[in-house]
Amino acid sequence: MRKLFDIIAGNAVPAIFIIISAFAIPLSGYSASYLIQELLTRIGRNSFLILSLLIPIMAGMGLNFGMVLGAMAGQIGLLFVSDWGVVGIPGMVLAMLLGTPIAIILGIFCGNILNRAKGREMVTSYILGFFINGVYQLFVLYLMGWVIPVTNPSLLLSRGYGVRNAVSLLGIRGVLDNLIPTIVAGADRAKNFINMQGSGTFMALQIPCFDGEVRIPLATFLLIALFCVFIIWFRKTKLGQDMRAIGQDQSVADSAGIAVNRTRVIAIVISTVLACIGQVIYLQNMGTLNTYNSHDQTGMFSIAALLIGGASVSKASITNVFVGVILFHLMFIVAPVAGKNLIGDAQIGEYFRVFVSYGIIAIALVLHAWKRNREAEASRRSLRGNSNANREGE
Amino acid sequence: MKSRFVLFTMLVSMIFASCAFAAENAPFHIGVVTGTVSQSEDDLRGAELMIKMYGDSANGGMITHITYPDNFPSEQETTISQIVGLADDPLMKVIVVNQAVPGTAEAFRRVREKRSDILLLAGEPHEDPGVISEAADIATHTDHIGRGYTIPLGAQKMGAKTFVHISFPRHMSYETLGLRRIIMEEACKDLGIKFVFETAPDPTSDVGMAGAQQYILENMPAWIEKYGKDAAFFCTNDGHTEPLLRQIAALGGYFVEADLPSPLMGYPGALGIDLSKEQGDWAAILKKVEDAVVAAGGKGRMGTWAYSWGYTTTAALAEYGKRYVEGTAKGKLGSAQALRDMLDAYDTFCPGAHWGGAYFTDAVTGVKNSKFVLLRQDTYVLGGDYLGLADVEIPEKYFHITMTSK
Amino acid sequence: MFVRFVKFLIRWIERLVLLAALILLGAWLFYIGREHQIFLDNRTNEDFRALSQVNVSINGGEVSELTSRERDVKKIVGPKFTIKAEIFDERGEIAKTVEREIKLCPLSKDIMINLPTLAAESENFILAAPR
Repeated sequence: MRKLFDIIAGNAVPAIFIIISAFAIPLSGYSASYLIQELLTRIGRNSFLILSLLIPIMAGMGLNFGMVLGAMAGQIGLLFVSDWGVVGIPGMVLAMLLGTPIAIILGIFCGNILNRAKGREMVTSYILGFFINGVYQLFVLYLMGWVIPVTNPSLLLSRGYGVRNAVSLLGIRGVLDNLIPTIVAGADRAKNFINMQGSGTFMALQIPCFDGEVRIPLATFLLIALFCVFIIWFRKTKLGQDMRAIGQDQSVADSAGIAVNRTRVIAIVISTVLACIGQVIYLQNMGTLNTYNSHDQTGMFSIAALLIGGASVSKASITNVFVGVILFHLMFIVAPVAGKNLIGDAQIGEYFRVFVSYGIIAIALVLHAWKRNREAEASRRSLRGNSNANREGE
Repeated sequence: MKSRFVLFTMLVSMIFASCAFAAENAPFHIGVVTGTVSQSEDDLRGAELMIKMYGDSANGGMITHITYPDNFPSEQETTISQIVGLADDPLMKVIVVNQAVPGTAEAFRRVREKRSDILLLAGEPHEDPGVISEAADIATHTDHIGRGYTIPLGAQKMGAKTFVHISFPRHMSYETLGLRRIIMEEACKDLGIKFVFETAPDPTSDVGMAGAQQYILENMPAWIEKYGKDAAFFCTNDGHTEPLLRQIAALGGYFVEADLPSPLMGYPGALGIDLSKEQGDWAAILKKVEDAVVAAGGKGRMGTWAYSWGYTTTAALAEYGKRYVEGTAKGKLGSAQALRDMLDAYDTFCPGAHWGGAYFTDAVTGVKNSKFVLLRQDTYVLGGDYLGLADVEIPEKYFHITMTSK
Repeated sequence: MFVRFVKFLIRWIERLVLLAALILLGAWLFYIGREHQIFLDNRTNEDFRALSQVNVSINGGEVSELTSRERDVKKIVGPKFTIKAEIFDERGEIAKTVEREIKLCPLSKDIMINLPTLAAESENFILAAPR
């Protein structure tokens, strides 16, 4: 009995989400092909950002709210690319290249501050996000166009300096997603698709009796798969092992000769750079850049998705990332319309979604704290003094 | 792990088991996307009117009404997803988004990719005319160019000597609102009124709506002190309007009209008017608001449009879409007839009021954008009379003021 | 000591080489990925009169028909493009076809091609873009 209770408690958050989704999906009235298409799009769009959170968790630094710094760096790269008019894959890669040094500098800054706030990393990185948001807005609203040359008038505000609030990214819209066009559809739609393609690589999978069509962002998925391989490889390198050692116990790692502070900074820098790349991938799918707002929810949503996937502040795996992104975004897709169909008022759907999504994040964090307390009690009971439960890291 | 697997398989099978709820009675569906009551109530009430007229699609009618998130600047993913979700319905033929918040253009592009047969209409777009025109079939917007001149003119007619424009960076970065501010500055210079710009907090920033409203409430006395009781005030944000009106009624100053004018914009909340009995009857609403304003001492100092912009736009766009699909609105998109059809749709919901409109011409290139329609209604001064602003001829110079001419 | 210094130096040289490679990559991406506007101008120039009609296509794309004093604009990606102009005479028949491959300077963004000059096969047909 205790074991069953432990299983449910261990997977409580994913379980709650699955149950709620199970009710909401039929209520929403969406077709299967639409749901699958939306899910695949969102997985392609968001996974990279969530994967960037894994390395700081491995290094025992908790959930890196500071990933929003990387997002801002990526956006600055995109602003330059939009100004210069570089389009297509070159535009996207150039944006990543430009954002990376900025992300490195911001990452070093963030890492050093977090080193002075050991044990309070999550809150510190959260507040740091606000601070850098202010610096970013100063940069984009005043310096760009004035000190930083911006030549494209459609990017600037009426007064001649400062960037507009919505920048169209038509030049790089969907370039990565549509690099290898892939479709899964019934016979007619597949034939239409193939006819439209012309030369270049593409893939089409025909399924009989399937009325809809699902387009798969194959190139994006390949990039994500590459990233997962990188993470798995990284864990086995010396640097990765150092980080895991620090994650286990900082003082032991220090006495073993690992440069704790420096390694922690490197962990944050890597995470920030990956967030920069992830944000560029996110925005090439969105097609528009909200200069002052696109990065607002990056940290919150990515961390929420990770927690919902069953990760905790001290332990997260690649499985958590993908389970989390599927469940979290499924909720986002179906809840508004399900709520509306259930109650009959369109507004309730939106409030329902907000309530459920953020409420679940709160539950996830509370459950994590509760679980940690239970583990601490269990280890006190067995008098083992388990280091896992005694370790700080929120 | 096994329990998780079982639940997951359940979930997957659920995806395929979902069935459509819409009954098949109506010949086609019209999707209407608005904000919630906390964001912009009038837009939503317009949608409710259409549901009353044509039925909810869940019950066999025509209208499918959904809302975009309150925090739309930060939740663009959800906004896009909501709008694109409407296209999943095979019977959907028209999609109306009012107000067309950032993300609408991208959502329209995605709908277009899936379903090229859906008519896409945007009301009061927040994105630049160039961006939204590429994606939507028609966008309607308050005449920001004309009103840049007529609002200061109205202030002058009411007796104001100073014009105070209250806004914040996010709004001033919108091409339409930013340009209007420049035109207002120029118009004030020509009309002999002093122009002042005051900054107030953005309700979507961390202080929230409550903080933004509190700021206006607290600073108005100081502003009246500084600029005098013959100063006219104008704010670009719907949330700022209510505290502004309250303070103007109590302390003095003029108010020509709100950014998106309506008798319901700010007045009920500011003066504590209960309009539950008059719901939907705009003449009665206007009368009750007027009585309250006169009672509060604001007679002749505060104005509005007799019919709400937001309410009318939602209803008119849905009505126009319906007429277009049914074939009664025959004008080809972008033609002069289409403009007349659109004005007809607007007039349907505003008996007695007067609408003027034209296609938007880009001041820089001189190219006419026949997918972007500018509209304005005459201003009515509460406790007074119509100002005749809809028929005023806008001096030619204001059409050539551009974003970079300052 | 000396060995340590050399190792240190080599590490820094490696980093500089990597940095230089990335900067070169960025410059190359900028060069091949930039979108340019090509304005097609059919107006009377100092030396050549406007053509009565000319059909122009760039990179084999959509054909623009320009009568005298008209302008059009096309967008291309990358520094090189081919332009094909079919010049019509007064009777409405194709008098001449000019095909050229043009390469843009690395830092220029938009250019304007004066079609009468191009038709006369003179060399100065590239002008600055209007703005």
